[in-house]
Amino acid sequence: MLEIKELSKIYTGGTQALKEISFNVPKGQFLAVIGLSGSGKSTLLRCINRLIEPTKGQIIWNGIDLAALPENEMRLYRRKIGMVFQSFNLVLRSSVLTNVLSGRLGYINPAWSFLNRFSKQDYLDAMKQLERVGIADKANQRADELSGGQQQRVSIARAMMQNPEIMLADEPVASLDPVLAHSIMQYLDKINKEFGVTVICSLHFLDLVHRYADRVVALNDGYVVFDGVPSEINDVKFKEIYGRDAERVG
Amino acid sequence: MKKDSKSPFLHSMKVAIIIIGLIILYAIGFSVTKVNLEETKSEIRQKQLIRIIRALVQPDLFSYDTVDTFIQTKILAPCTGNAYSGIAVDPSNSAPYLTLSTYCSNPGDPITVEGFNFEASEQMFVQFIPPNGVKLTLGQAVTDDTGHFTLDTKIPKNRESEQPQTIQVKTSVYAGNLKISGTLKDTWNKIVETLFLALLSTTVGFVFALPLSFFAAKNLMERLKTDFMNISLTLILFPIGFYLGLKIVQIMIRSISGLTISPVIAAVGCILFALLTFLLLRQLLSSQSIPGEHDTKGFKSTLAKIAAGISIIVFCILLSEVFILAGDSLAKSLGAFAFLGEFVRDVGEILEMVLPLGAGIAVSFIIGSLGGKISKRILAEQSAWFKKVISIILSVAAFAGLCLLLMNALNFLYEFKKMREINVYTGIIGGLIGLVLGLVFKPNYEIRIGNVIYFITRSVFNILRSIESLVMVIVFVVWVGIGPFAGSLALALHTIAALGKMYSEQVENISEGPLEAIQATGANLVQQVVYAVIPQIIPPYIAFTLYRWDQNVRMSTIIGFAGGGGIGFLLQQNINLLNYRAASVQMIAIAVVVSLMDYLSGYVRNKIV
Ligand SMILES: Nc1ncnc2c1ncn2[C@@H]1O[C@H](COP(=O)(O)OP(=O)(O)OP(=O)(O)O)[C@@H](O)[C@H]1O
Ligand SMILES: [Mg+2]
Repeated sequence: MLEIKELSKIYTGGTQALKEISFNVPKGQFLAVIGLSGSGKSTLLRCINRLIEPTKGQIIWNGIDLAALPENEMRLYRRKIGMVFQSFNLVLRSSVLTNVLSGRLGYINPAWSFLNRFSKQDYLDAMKQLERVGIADKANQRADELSGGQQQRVSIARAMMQNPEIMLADEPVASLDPVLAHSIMQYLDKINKEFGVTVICSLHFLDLVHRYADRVVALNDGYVVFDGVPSEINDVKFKEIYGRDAERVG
Repeated sequence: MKKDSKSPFLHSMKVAIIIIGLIILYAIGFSVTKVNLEETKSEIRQKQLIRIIRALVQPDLFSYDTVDTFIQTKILAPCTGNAYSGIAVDPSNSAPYLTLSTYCSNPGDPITVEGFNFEASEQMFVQFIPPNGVKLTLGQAVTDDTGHFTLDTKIPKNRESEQPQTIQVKTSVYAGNLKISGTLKDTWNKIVETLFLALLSTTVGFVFALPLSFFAAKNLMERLKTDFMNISLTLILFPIGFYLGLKIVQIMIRSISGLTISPVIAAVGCILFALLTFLLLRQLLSSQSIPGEHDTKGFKSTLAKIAAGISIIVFCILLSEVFILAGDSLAKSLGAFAFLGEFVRDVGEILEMVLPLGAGIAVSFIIGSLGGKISKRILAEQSAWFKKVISIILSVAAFAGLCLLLMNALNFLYEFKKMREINVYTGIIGGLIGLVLGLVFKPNYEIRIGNVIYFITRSVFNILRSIESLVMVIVFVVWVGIGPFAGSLALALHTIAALGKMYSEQVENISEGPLEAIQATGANLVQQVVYAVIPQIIPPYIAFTLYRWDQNVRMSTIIGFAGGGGIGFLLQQNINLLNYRAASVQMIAIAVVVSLMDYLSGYVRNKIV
């Protein structure tokens, strides 16, 4: 259970991206976060694993307030929170295998990092994860030689190396074509259903929301304007979320 | 639209004011830089200029063997009456000859010496040789374009003789083969010196700038933050750790270098300790203790860590001993390649020199990280009062200590009189600062210590960078004497700052995405750097290092002007001696080397990046 309590974020410069947001995410849920561009989706996801420091509020996970932890302890909880990004964020000049293995960094003795050494088990696991997303044959290629869809799969493999209990996905398919988008979403779905990983995924397309999400939280200008199951989003709700002038497509 | 609404008159007024302003600006510029067109027109100056330019375009690259020939004529002085008509010459002859205005005259009388058929623009020394053979220079002249010269002089007094006396000029005639001139040989030697000077200084600069650049990168450093109590603890523990590490290793070096006499014993010990270190490290690292999850064998692993640390140090000391001893014996036995042995010995000595410093830094970091653990344990206590009191005590101690250290560093420079009293006051002031800070900040207040480190590193880089190496070399010349070593040190110091700044800007320019992603896996700051930053900065680092080498070659060609060795030394000497033909050779050499380096580094940059 992840409880977000009155979470606020004010950026230096004064933009208030999150305004006292509260909601709960039960374990094993597939939660979609929707909202207009600039509504605060990325900010919310990054506050959960503290890539961005929340200004106020609590993020309580299994009874521990993540927002109050010092950085060196937060690091240990981050290991259990995987994350994939819209722009994949692979280290492009490193090999695919190294990118996947770096998901284990939180678990190994930092002294090994200077030598780029991982245990045998880690290598085996990395290959297994790559097989699972179907690109084991690319393991020794450089990450920038891969297409966008392949890169996103590598980044999912990297996140899975963390043995996560929560998976954060910030518009994971926004820069992919619809067919690839479904294949990536299916991986996330599988992670959710097979391994019971809680998935919190921000999305732009409502059809993806309907198809994959158990529940939707909608943000508008830093407020939660909707919290419910996808089928509840009717035209009235839609206009509340996306504004009066919005037209529904698809 | 908006522009048209403005009145054209105002617009042209504005333009006129700008133009007048520019004119005034350049007028000031001319007067400040003392532009003097009269000088450029002056006849003498122009002549000098032409002479220098002519010398410069005739570089002293090759030389002929020359044969000196003497052209003589005779004169009777004093003139005893029976008129002497000198040696007859045939004016239609093409060989050089001399004529005198008179061939019979008295000491002290004026006489004009004329020469014909010499080489054009040759320097002539006219000598007077009495029968006793002691030469006396009458004067010098330069021949004109037709090889003719005239010298008005006087017949020397006190050189009377009954016999006709000799007046002669010396002229050098080219003979034999073209040879590489001495200047060219010297220039070659100095150019080699210059290139190595640049290489060494760039290498040293690279080695130091590499780690330092991370401390000067804002995007990394702003991630580094720690609680207030940890900072106090670190401030206390760091200097203690440094002192301990330094002293212990110094003592170890003294006792070990006292023991080993033969290189064989040292080598065997070296190998043994290498093995021991390897085994200990493997033992330590294979245990793969997962950070954050309690490991039960804490005591044992601490012991193993200490053992590994000591064994590494012993290994390094022995290694430096082996290098020194082996280098010495190599230097004796290698003959022409003795410099290789000397190099090995120098490496050993450098190792021995930096080892205590390195150990000091390492121990201070280890003990400093202990501070993190202690502060964590204290912060875990329940009583807020207890935490606050401990925090205040620690911060008082920390800042008192810091101020005392700084004051003693100042004392080293300024040699204060009443150090005892000053120390008391500094301690009190530092303690007060610590007290105020301790009261203001909560023990667990997160301080962005990284920003402080960033600011300090950047400032040091900027200050060092703004001092040209040409100026720095003056200090180093005082320390290690005139020569290329001083030049290397000065250039290296400047390179550290310049490369450090350029590198850190590259770190700041990396794409943040991968860094964010690696941070999200739970990697610590060092791991984030190794996995997300380093792969991104390798190409620009190589490019900048090559670029800097290129620049250092350029710099090292003039560092000799300030005593830093290399070709500049020779160039300056020749310019001061007005030896422009030799200076010309060095200028050509510089141009060739600098442009070659430019092409080469550009080529390699393109290949790699
Ligand atoms: N680093 C930052 N500094 C200042 N303001 C920021 C920063 N990042 C985001 N913001 C602001 O915070 C608000 C929310 O941004 P956020 O990126 O969370 O929106 P989003 O919902 O993810 O949008 P998108 O769909 O375009 O990704 C926006 O107004 C944005 O301008
Ligand atoms: Mg976003």
